[in-house]
Parts: sequence; C-alpha cells; structure tokens
Amino acid sequence: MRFSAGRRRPTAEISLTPLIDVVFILLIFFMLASSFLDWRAIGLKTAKLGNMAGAASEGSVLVKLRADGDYLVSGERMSRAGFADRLQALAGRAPKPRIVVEAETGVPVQALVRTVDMAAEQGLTDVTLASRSEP
Amino acid sequence: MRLLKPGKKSAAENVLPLINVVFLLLIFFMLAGALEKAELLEITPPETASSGQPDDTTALLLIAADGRLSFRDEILARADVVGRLKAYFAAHPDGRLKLKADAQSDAAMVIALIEELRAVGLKELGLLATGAS
Repeated sequence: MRFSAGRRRPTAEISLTPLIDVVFILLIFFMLASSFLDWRAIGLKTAKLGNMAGAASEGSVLVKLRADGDYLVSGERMSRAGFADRLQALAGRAPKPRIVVEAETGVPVQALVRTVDMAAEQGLTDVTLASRSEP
Repeated sequence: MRLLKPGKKSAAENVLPLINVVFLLLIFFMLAGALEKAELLEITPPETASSGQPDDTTALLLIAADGRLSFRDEILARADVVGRLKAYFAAHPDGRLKLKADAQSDAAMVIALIEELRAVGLKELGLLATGAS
C-alpha cells in the first residue's frame, strides 16, 4: 500500500451538515416528548359514611364540599376563610380529629385537593374521603 | 490591534458554536425532561401544595374532565373499569393504585368510584397532582 509521502493533505474534511441535521432532529424530539411536570401524589383513604355512622364518627369531623364553594363542617355552613379558621381550631384538639371529606355533585377535584391541602397545612393528615351510601 | 481577516475561517469552523449550543440543549432536554407515554385522555391535573412523591406503582387510572375513564390504554365504561381493577387487584394484593383525575372532574363521582374500587381490593390510593406553579 502506498501512502502519500511526507506532507499529508490538510485532513480530509468530514462534512458537518448531516451531523447537525441529526442532532437537530434529536433535539426537537426531546423537546417535544419530554415533560417537565412536577408530579406529586396525595395518599387518600376512603370510607363509607354508612359504616362510620354512630360510634365511629366520634373523633372525626365531617366536611362537606358544596357545589357553590362553601363548606359544611358538621352541618354548619362556612366560607373558605371560616373553614381555615375552623381547621386551625380542630388542629388544637388532642387527639387530632380525622377529617372526613364528602363532596356534592359538581364539586371539582381541584376543590377536593385544596381541602386536603388546607387540612395538611394545619397538621391534620388523617383525611378520609366518603360518599353517602344513601341519598 | 490586528484582527483576523474575515472569511478566513472555513465553513465548518463557523458552525462549531452552533453545534456546541445545540448539543448542550440536546443534553439538557435528555437529562432534565422525563419521557412520558402519551395518554388516551387529555388531563389537566389539580395543583397541590403537598410534597408527597409518587411511588412506583404502575397501575394508573385516568379520569377526564368529562368523566371518561381510561385504564391501561383503553377507554372503558365504569363497570368495566371496576371489573379490570378487580382482576388487577386479585393479581396484585398490595392493592396500590395511582389515580390521575382532571382538576375539573367531578369529585363526588371520583369519590364514589374510589369507594367502589375499595370494595374490589383497593388499599392504597395515590391521587396525582402537580406542584403549585
């Protein structure tokens, strides 16, 4: 085999254009396909109100979310600010009460999550979801 | 001060900074972004202040704003969802499920469904939400 002696040609150039093409395509793929959502998980328990009637309801507070955005806490209607105050008062109790959340039809899941958040903010982490078995 | 005469650089040299930047962007998106499987239903998750991290549970139930349900790449009627999950929980007795519900879906329906699932073996439920923006 013969090599060109001594002086080599100034490096046979590989064209960069195909490389850039491929890298651009990869970049666009990853930009479109990747997601930057910051996922959280909220642990929830459920209970049937029917099963909790009577004895089980002691030490737990029933919060009903109304479709108009108000809260019914043990049958007493209040606004969100009032509910926040009530939660603070409840958090002072020992042992901490369990919060049982029930929702009317038409209440969005966001309101439910907000309620759970408000309770957690006051240290009330024992939140149970409930639906009424009877209308 | 003498500057290099323009036009002396080869074409390849001129695009090097561009390639550098594009490579950096590529590496950033590869590392920082999480690739996610496309889902059948379009869901806007609720926002939460809670900091609980999702566990590695693979069973994921989707609830769209209009109440449609999807499990394992199928849009199912409610009765079918309960049936599928009953079979799933029979095979996975730890009873864990992740629930991705749209922020605007009906909470009463979601709670009722969770309760129905609890009757067929649901033990631990994680409601997925995103961090508040």
